[in-house]
Amino acid sequence: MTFVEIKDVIKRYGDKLSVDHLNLSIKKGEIFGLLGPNGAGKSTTINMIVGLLPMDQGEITVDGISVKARPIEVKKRIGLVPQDLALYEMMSAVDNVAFFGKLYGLRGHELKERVAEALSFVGLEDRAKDLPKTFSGGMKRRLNIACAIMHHPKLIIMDEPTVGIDPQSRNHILESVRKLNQMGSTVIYTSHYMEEVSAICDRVAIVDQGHVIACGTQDELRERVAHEEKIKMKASGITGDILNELRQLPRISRVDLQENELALYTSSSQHDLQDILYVCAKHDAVIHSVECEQPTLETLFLSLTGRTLRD
Amino acid sequence: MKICSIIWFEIRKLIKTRTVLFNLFLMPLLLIFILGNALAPMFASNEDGVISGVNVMLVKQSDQDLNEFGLKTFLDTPEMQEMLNVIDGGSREEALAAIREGEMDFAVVIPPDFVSKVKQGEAATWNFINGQSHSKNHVAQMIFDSYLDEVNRTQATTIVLGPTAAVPVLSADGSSTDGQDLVHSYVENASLNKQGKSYSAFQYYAASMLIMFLLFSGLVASESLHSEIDTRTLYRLQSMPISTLHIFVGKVVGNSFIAFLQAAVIILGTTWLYDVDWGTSPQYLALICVLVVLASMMMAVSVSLLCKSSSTAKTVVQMIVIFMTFFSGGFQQIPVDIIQKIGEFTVNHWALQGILRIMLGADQGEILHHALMLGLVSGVFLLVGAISYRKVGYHE
Repeated sequence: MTFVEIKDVIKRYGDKLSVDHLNLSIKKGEIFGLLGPNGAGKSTTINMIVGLLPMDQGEITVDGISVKARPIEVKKRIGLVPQDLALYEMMSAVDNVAFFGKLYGLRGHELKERVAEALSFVGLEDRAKDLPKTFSGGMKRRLNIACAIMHHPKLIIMDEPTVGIDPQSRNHILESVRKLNQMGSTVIYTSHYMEEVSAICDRVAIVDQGHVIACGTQDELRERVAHEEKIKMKASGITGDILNELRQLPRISRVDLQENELALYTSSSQHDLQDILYVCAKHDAVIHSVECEQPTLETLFLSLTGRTLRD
Repeated sequence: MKICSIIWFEIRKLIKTRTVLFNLFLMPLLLIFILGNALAPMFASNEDGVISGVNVMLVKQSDQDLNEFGLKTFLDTPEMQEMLNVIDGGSREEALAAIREGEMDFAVVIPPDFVSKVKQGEAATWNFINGQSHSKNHVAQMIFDSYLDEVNRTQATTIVLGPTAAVPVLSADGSSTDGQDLVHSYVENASLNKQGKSYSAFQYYAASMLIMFLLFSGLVASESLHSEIDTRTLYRLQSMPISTLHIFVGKVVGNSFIAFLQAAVIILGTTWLYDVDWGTSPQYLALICVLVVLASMMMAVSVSLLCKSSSTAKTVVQMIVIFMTFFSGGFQQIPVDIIQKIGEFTVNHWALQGILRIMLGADQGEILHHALMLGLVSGVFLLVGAISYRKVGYHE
């Protein structure tokens, strides 16, 4: 069952097309990843789903309700975890969560219970009375999540929630996303970290320059680049002649050299490795290490756009 | 209910900030104390403005008969006797010595050619010797100058139009030729109210500072609006099921509530600490406070919406408030026409005049006239605020 439907949405900023005929269908109960480099249009898409930005064309529905027609009804169903921390530094953690809870219509005993539950969920129950300014970056990120989930939203939107935090907090957040999903929430998770999206998302849409360039389960997407294996070699003495000769090999689609690291994309590393090593040896290049990588979402993005996600 | 959460949140946020508490509640009381004490001599209220009689030594440098000019009669009138104690002196030196010793407050030396000059139609002058009191010198000079002016005017009329055309200052017996009492004052003592009271420096500055600080309360609202943008909390708020207008109104109302609390603290604090009399019409005082807060909030939010950065908005609002306070005479009354004319377009002017009238127990109509004018000014600010919100909106 479709929970979020995005149909032919366009958003312009002046002459620049930020979202270009975007179509997406997000199913109820799934963790849906929006993957794309900075400036791909992920945050703009999220802002339009939440009703913060008017769309120039198209239609978005959440739980069957039009964002354009009934934005307040849609907002009741959404918990947004913004990319930037959106907290009141001079109010305690519990006051922050309680204030936002009140704006979702929670009151009295229910509010108290939900606030405690949310803080416990993100592991901040012991720091409930402390001010966020005394928190570490990771704790602030977790509080940022608590403020968005205390009303048990049907749809949780997390816009790059792990930016700039330590690995431990990052794992905690990813674990929280899984738990929230298990508790029944549909999750839209945006990131430009391919590893995060790979780790938690059921389906992924890869977005670039405002439109979806690929969408499906991770297996489906990997299937599209199954032929794109990557061979990473650390070597010295790589010359232009070597690069030209490597590019002539039959299954090699692309060769990149960055300092002493050679990246080769081939449809079969098993068959090509021997030839590659032969070419290098012939030109007296010294090989320090060789590594073969299976195709990833990063590979897919590279294959589709010619750029990496972090470009 | 959600808007109430925003209002209550604003109030809690402000109450928790110590610097805000100091600036909003203690600073006005401190300023009123300093200004009220420092500038008290500039306010001639009934309580502190009574000048006692001036001791004047009158020195005639020749044996002239001044009776035909009515001098004796003039000095013997009850009004003059109340203000002047005149004794005759023998010489200029004697007068100087008496003033130096503090026995006399002022001296008048009548030159020997005074009578002849007057009769020839020439300008006749007396020499004044000032004493130590500026106020007493001023009183005596004013009295004798006006007498001399009248003598010169009468003589000039006599010479030009003939003896019958001139009306002497006073006849020898003190009666006037046209049957009117010529010693009556042409100046009518008036006051802002019908009870003849005047306000003290503390009253004036309590009212002036109340208005200025209420106007500054808009600054707090402006900062609050900008801080939501700077901390990205506005983004989160706008993703919640509450309209932006409600967020905006909630913040303005929350800050207005703090402004009313501030007004109450200033009014009660000055009453209790400095014995300031705020009059007997609390309902009109409240009305003026509401209108000033409305103007303040609307002015500040308009500036906030139009300025991109918090610091620019803050500077602009501060400048407007200081400008309005200055031109309305909020720091010190400025008797310059152009400044007073400009002052009439400010919130402070109408609010200050309204509050002073309330303090002095003026007519309801008079108070309401000022409240109405203030309402018009506030209405203009409300309109500007509404247009700014509609055109610019409150967003990141």
